[in-house]
Amino acid sequence: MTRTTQQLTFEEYLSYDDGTDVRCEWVDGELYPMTPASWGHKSIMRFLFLQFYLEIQRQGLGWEPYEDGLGVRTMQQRVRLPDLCIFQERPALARNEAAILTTPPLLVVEIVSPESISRDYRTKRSEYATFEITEYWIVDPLAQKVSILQLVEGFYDVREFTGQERIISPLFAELMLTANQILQGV
Amino acid sequence: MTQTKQQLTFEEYLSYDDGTDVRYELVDGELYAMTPAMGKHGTIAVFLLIQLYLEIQRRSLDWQVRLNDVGMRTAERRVRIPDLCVMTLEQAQAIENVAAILITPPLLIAEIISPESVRRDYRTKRTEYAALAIPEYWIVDPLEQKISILQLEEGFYDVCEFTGQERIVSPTFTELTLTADQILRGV
Repeated sequence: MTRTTQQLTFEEYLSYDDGTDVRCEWVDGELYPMTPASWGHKSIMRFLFLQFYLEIQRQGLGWEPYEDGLGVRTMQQRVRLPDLCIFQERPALARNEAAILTTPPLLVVEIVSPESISRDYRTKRSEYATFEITEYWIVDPLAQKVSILQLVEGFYDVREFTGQERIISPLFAELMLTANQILQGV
Repeated sequence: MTQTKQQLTFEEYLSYDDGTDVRYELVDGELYAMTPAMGKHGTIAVFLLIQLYLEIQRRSLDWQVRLNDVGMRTAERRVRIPDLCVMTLEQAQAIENVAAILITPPLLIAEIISPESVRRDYRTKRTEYAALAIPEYWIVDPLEQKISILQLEEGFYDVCEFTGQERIVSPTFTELTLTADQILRGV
């Protein structure tokens, strides 16, 4: 993710098109292009999406999981594009409206890549907590661990899982997945 | 800090007046009254105000230190009013003739803990002030007799704690020579 120096308003961000298909996050008026995901990254995303989808079905929860690309306006001047997010219900957006939500999802997932380490573990940890997202997963294939952050009185407490450990998610209490399964994406 | 049920927009909050002099924070549209703190709280606040004021003068910095009259808009419908705040003269001038609410991050914020604010100051505000990119956040805790200085590193606060005769280390006020005890006693 490299940064442009151009300053855009929210409206300009919505209609931004530089002729490429590269998607950008919008942070304090600046565009941050998202570099194309690696195959490993994509495999994890797809695996988790399917697992969440099946678990939501099994329990009849009615929640809506979205893979990659749904915008979340975490602050007045910021739009993030989490790798995966789950909403309580189908967002009330018109068909032709930009897919950017202003209400907090129940859960977001970020999959760490070499250039996103401090952004995922630090900046977004503050930002997602301010936005009151109750659960934040950081899947880290580099450090081979899965961190599950739970919002408790406005601050995330962290639990880390590695290897054959079963991950513990407050939202998906019955989900039977090990850290390795998620990290391998199979 | 007690809570009312009324839902207010940011604009309604700005012009809110219930006939009392009670100051409110705005949290997700609701008003939270800043109830009078214990006496110790004020002693520490004034001590810090004077120490930081003198240090700013001594170093001839273009900064201003203020006690609990400047709001921080940490989210769309949230305004926090820290116990103490250090900002640039430019920021001070920008709010001179309008509601004293900063939308750009001040240099430093301090909160002094009282029994009902423990979790709010250590948890919620730690998150909110980091998201607002405030470079330094002090938590002065007379209950636990310690001072935490939180420094923003890539969007998240790292914490250093100081107790007793330890000299506190502030990245913003590098030459300040104060011990944790001095601040906690307020003398």
